[in-house]
Amino acid sequence: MSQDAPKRGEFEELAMPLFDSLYNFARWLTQNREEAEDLVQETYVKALKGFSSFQPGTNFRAWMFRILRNSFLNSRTGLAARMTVGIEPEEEENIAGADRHTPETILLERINHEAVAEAIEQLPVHYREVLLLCDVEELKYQEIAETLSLPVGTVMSRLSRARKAVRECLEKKSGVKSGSPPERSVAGKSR
Amino acid sequence: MPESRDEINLLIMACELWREKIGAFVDSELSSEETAELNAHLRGCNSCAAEIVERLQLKRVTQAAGNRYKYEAPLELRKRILQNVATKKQRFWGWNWVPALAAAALVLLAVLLYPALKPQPQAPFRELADIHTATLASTNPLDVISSDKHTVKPWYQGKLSFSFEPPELKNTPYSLLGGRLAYFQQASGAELLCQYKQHRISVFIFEDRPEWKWKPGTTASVLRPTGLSVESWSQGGLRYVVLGDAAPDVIHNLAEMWKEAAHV
Repeated sequence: MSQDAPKRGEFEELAMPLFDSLYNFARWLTQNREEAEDLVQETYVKALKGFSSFQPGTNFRAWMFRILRNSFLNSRTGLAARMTVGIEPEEEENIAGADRHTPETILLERINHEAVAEAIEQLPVHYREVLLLCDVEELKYQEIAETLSLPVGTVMSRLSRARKAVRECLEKKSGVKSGSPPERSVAGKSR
Repeated sequence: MPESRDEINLLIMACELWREKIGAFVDSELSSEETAELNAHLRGCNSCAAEIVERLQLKRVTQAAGNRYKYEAPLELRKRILQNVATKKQRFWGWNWVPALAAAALVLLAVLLYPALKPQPQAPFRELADIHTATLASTNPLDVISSDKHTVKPWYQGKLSFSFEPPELKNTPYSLLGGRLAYFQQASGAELLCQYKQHRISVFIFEDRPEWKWKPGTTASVLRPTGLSVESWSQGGLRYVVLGDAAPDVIHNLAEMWKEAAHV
């Protein structure tokens, strides 16, 4: 029996439980059902082919997401998305400053999922992917950095900007204006 | 609590430093030391606490909305991918095709049944853990403040489509602090805040839904990576979740009181 057989068994065992997550991520990246299906299939084919080069002990989940994301970037839709990245300003800047908000946005709790989904859809793909990997797939910053081949600092600043954009979109939808920074209050001194 | 102008200025300077780390706190990326320091800061700073509440809510709604395609993946695609893997595997097994076929069929069956049989995810608990944390971080955590269940229970009348019976906590190690409305996966429900020594514990009550996947088991367990203890059960068409940073047996004993009250 070839040594490949147990390898393939192991691949199946590791890779198939990720199917739903990979499909979900592919749908968000491509925003198209057929393209997402092709992308997931391509990911599995490439991953199976390259499984012998996968280093046991490293993060398989991040590895699979990286293959999917790289395949996407090489697709027609992905190439178009990449073109828009170049005109975005450099992300490395004050993260805290990008997160100013009004306390009224606590209304978020009552905003429906459809509005949030629309806000995510409207994000440029390089913000969308980092937000989904963090909040939906619950990858750690380091794992996201490995998946996207980015420094952790860039992951954090993109994440911050993505959230800011989602929040502003929701504020627009709910009619809440994002204005000046919240009035600072100190326990026992205000309210 | 800061008293002088100097103390307030110091607090404001601390805020500027913490603002940069609030995102990492919400994503559970801070070290335990930094988390403890930030928690200490939050006790005196309404502004940072309000920001954390909002960030947690945004993360929660993003997570819920971001999962929209997760279980829409076509079965055909799953089969096709599996076949791609399994077919190649058979070739290596050569003449021994009968067990190979049986194994492939079993794997296919397992994959097809995977969504139904896989271990129940902790995702709903994490979402409720976020709500619990947001409640504790809030400057006005409760809509109704009373230790009297006869005050708290009637407050929910007309606000929820169901009613529930809180246990009598007087003369027990627990006390009722009050309640608020909670929103979970587009359903409204009750969140009642109880106290045990210095621990605050949330009791969530929602109308149960078959599509909600809850971790099985009736005894309290620790929810990773939050470190919170949680116990959940369904009773009388309602889903109860008791959650807090107290030890599992403390959560379990409180859960038993709620079960008994609901049973009467």
